[in-house]
Amino acid sequence: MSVVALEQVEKNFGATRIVRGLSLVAEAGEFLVMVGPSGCGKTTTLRMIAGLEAPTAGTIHIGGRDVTALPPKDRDVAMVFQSYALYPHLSVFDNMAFGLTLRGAPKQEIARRVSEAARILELDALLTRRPKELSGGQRQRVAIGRAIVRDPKVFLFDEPLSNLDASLRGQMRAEIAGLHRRLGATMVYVTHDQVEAMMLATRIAVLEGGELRQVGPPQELYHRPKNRFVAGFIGSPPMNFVTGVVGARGGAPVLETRGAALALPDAARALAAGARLTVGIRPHDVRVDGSAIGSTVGFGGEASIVEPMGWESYVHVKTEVGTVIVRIEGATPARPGDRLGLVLPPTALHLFDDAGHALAHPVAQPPPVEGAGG
Amino acid sequence: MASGRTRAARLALCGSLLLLGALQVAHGEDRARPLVLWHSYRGAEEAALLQTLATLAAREPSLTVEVIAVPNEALASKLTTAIPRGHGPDLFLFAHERIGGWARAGLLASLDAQVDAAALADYLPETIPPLRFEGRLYGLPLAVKSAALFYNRALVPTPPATTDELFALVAPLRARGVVPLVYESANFYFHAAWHLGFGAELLAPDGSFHFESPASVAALGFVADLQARGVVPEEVSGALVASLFNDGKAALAISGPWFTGELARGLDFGVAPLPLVSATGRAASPLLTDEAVLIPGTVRDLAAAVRVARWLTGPEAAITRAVVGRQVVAARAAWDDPRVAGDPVLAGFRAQLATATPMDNRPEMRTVWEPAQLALKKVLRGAASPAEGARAGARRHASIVRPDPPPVSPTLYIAALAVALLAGAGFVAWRVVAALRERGAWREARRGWGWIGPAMAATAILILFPFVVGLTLAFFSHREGNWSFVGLGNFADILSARGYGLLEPLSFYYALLVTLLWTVLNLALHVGIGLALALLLARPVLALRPVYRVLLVIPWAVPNYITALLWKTMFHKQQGAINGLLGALGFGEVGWFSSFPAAFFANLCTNAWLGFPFMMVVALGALQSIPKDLYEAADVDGATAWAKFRHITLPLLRPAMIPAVLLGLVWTFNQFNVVYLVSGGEPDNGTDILISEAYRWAFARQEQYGYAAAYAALIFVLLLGWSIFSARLARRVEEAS
Repeated sequence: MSVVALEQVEKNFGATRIVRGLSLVAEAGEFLVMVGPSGCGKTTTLRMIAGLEAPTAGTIHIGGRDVTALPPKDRDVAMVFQSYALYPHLSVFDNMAFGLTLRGAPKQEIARRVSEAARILELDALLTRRPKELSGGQRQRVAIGRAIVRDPKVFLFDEPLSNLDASLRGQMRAEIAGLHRRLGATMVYVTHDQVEAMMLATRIAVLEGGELRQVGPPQELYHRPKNRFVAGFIGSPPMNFVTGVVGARGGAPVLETRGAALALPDAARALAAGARLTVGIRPHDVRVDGSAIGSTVGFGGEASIVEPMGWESYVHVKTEVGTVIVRIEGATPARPGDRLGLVLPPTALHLFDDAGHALAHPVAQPPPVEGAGG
Repeated sequence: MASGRTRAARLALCGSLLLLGALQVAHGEDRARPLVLWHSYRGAEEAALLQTLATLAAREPSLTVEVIAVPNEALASKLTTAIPRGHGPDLFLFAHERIGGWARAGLLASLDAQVDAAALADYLPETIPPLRFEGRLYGLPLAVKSAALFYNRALVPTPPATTDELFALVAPLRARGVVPLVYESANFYFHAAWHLGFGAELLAPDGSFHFESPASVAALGFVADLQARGVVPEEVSGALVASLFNDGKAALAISGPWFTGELARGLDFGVAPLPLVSATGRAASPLLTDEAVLIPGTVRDLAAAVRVARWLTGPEAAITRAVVGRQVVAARAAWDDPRVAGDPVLAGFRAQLATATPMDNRPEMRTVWEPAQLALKKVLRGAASPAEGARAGARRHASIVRPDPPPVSPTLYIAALAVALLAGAGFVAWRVVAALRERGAWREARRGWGWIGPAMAATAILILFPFVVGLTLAFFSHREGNWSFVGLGNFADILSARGYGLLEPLSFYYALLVTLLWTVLNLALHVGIGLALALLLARPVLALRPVYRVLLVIPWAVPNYITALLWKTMFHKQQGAINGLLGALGFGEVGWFSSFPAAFFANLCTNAWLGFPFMMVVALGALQSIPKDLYEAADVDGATAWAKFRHITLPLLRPAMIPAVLLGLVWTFNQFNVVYLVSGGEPDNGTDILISEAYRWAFARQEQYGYAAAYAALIFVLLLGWSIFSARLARRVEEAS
């Protein structure tokens, strides 16, 4: 259990700046997930922690020790690769034992630790197989097992589930979460999948363009995104956004957009009229209700896309304020072409200024749940 | 549609067979009209020949001659095989030395009835006896060739008349940095002049060669002396003779008429007879080759052929050949022409004729060369005293002329072959019937045969047929065009090393050991160097990688015989770059071809140079396919550079390298070019590998084709065994990885 601390870390490849002034701490025993779109620098950051890339500037500490200049083998970290990177010519046992063998661990010790890890990962029956004789999920377990036997200070995961199919991914996600609970080790995990991040993380760090946009517990990021990017990135389907200028209708603040007016929460009263503003609302906060059409909270529109999910559906509705995705419960709530009335309650709106910084969040939100690890 | 295809395939097959048949017919068809003449002249000699034939055609339109030029190396064997089958020419030009063998095999027409004594008086008297064999005349002389002494007038105004005078030239010439004499001293053709000058004979009347006669040993001692006392340099090749003499770095050269074509324009030189051997008072007597018009026994119109031969050897044609072709012609009358008589070079060779000795035209003569040269080389490189060298030569001679295995009755073999063929046919029939039992199989099969038929026919003609012929030859013994069935005799001889020691050069086992050593060391070098370079080239940090990659593949891209000849030149003792480099570094000269380790090393260097690029390319490809992740995973796991190489690079290269190594092994095992061209088997055939030994038995030792074929069959069995083993090995590796 060690703290991983990055301080003002920069990484350039030639003229391309991949990571910019990143300062980030994974506390001891924490499951920190770095998430962001492709090219945001999350994998590069992980590789810098592992020692596979040298930062252009800044320092990296692991367990209080400055490891910035140390080679990977001296950092006492274990890494699980996206491609698993299993040694194809070695058996499962030898793959898992490789690191210990290199470090000259006694044979019995190696056998004990490998069989322990194999038991945890249910690989007992596969120890003599070679990687090509394993399924994707089994290979992933071996890759994790290889990390576990080393008993490192820090586990690093580089998109470990992206090569698995959906059902296996769900299962492995649960297993990794279980592993974290069991080992209590510091884990730094990279993914582009925000659902995975939400489910696994103690805290999530959202990166964009090499910069840290927000770090915090999943619920905090979900409910109190610091900026429009995080708001849009976390949550599936993504938050609806409507951009316009601040105005007033009957003394109440509204967002004027495309000739329509959308009622804003009281928090918007402080905003100057005419200021550009973006409001966001999560699909499940939108209500289907035709009664308010014509008011500043109710809008009518035509369903363009219906994504049935079984017990709920996501319906894309073209309204005066733009396309709004709404979550509807029930078997067959709508078909494309149906006309629907939507209500966008002002109390459910997130407000962002022109630069994308959050100004206000819904008032009637549940308190953030700490430590949602799975 | 399918049957249409089948028909088309069948038609194509029939068409090609018909074409083959037509070619065959054209080949064997009646050629009575023009007389066909084969020759191997080139350059000026060919021009002169064609000119004389053109004159003849204008003079006698009824005597048309079709001229076919055949490469010199191929002419003898082509004649030997074509004449008995009726495919030979009506007349051909060849040196007299093969007359005995061909006459004995009945390949030549005797001319005694066609050419009377008066006609023979038209030729220089020395030129007639070489054309006789066992009392009968077999040809008409065109020209003679022998070695003579070329001298650079600027360095030696008058050529030495005796060998003592020759030795006396050493001090003054060496003082000027000039080598007194250059000639191919290790070549028995030139050495024969001293050999005869010391009073030794060529072949005894019974056809034996007395290597150990005192005169023969004395001649060996004499050339050792020539070299030791600085008269001649060491390891002289034909090219070196020309370059030293042309550059004025050698005052004298011993060579033949062809040498004038290699001399620099404006060089002031003369040609004189070789000096007297002071020790014996006899003239050094170079071998005389009598080039003649010979007529096959199968000729259809002997009289017409003789008329053409008389024309070609007659005075008018001779003058043309002397003036245009620079030949020392045999027609006596030609020498009355001032253009011929006044030519100092021709006159010099004519003068040498008086003391030259005709090459013995008996087939036994051809067994002498290799052992005589073995003795000569041993002595010249200081590996043996003259007496020891002579003994080694005699021993080698005995190995080569060891009697053939006794002929055996082929009955048993034919019976065995018949049983094997029947069993084979039965097996095939059984398989076919079993396969055709299925419904519709017949139609399927017919379609299949249509598709694979052409390829099978090509394989049968190009691969299977020569293979079967080669294998069959291994059961025969060949001497001078005569084949006798010896059963497994050749194999027994080879495997019992009859005629030589079990572990001396020429023994199958010795050659096998050398071949194995050769193969293993080469592969180790190829893989080692190739892998090391591939690892360097695979480093992404290396600048100019593509340039290096191209440069390193060049040895592979250059034809290997060119590379081999280049390396051979670089390893030359006195003129080679390698000794030059060693000299610059303060080391002494190394005689690269005078000891087994040095000669083997020279071969090894050459072949390593030729072979590493292939392994490098294979390794590079395999290296680039190893995922980078594995190295990173190993980095994180705590691997050092060596551990990564040993635990990741090597095991993951193995699946790609093993097939390459298995292939390389077969290539190296049969790497004829390098061994033949670089060391040429030196010293004493010690560095010959199996394949080059087989070649020598076939083409350098009296055409013992049967013995050579048996050698080839044994090589085939070895490699077949290896392929089966390696296929299993490869499969195991594939399964394991």
